[in-house]
Amino acid sequence: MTRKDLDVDAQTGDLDDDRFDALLRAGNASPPEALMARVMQDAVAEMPPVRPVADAPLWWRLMRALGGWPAMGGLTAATCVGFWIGVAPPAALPDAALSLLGSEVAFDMESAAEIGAFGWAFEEGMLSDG
Amino acid sequence: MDDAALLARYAVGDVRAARVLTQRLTPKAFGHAFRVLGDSAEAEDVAQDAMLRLWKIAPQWEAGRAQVSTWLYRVVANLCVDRLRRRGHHAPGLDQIAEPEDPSPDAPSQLQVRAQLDALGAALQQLPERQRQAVVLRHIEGLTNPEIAEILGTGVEAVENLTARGKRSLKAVLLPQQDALGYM
Repeated sequence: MTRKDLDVDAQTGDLDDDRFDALLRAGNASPPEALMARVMQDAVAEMPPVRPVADAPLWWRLMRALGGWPAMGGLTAATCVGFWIGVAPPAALPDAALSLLGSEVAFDMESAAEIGAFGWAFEEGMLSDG
Repeated sequence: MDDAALLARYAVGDVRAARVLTQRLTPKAFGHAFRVLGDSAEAEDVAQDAMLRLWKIAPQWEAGRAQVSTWLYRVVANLCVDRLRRRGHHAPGLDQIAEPEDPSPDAPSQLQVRAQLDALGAALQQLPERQRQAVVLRHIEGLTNPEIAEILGTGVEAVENLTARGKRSLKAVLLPQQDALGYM
């Protein structure tokens, strides 16, 4: 209903809009109780069966055992954080893997010198049979 | 809790959610069907059928797809159209509508209100089906034009035209009876 309609109605002495709207709204029909009861019966009859836990698949039972969806959410968040720390570890974080293994890898410059020195020793006859 | 959340709870076996939805939505379905069809028994069938379809679709309902009430109104509107087509869409002529009883001066005001509502119901039946649906949804159910457009599968501008024309037609039908009905 536009303002224009209201003006036209007023000019032509047509029905009063406010009272007309009130009448329309007053005409709200309420459903019979029997209908409400039938609808409710249908709702119960059509209600999807709740799947018993014994019939549920293994992943579902495992998830329930771990604590359900809230636990899954926590596990997923922890996994994501762990993965991200692995990819881009913060500078302040100690090298946890080396600390756990208790070993350090160092390059020994003298080993390389000894390998090279073997050639010199051979050429100089230090290692010859005679 | 909104209708979609209640429907999701119903889908996992919550009877209380079904009860709330029944109380909330059945009056809407019945009210719309009653005004469009003008027959209480048929309106009950349509409302029950529409609600049954809602229960059946509950497990597949996608959150955010549409408002549950809008979906229900659309189902009711389509069921009403089917019934009107089966009837052959024989709306009673003006001369077939019973004249509202002239309330006596000392009659209780309820009788006058009843007569007004009867006259309104009869006048609604005079409207073409689309106008009737639009007028009922807009002026009685209080829906917005975009909601009505979604329900009737048309544009907002078309809905504005339907409701404006429908209301003018209703007034034209009711105007000659205003003295007998004692209003307007």
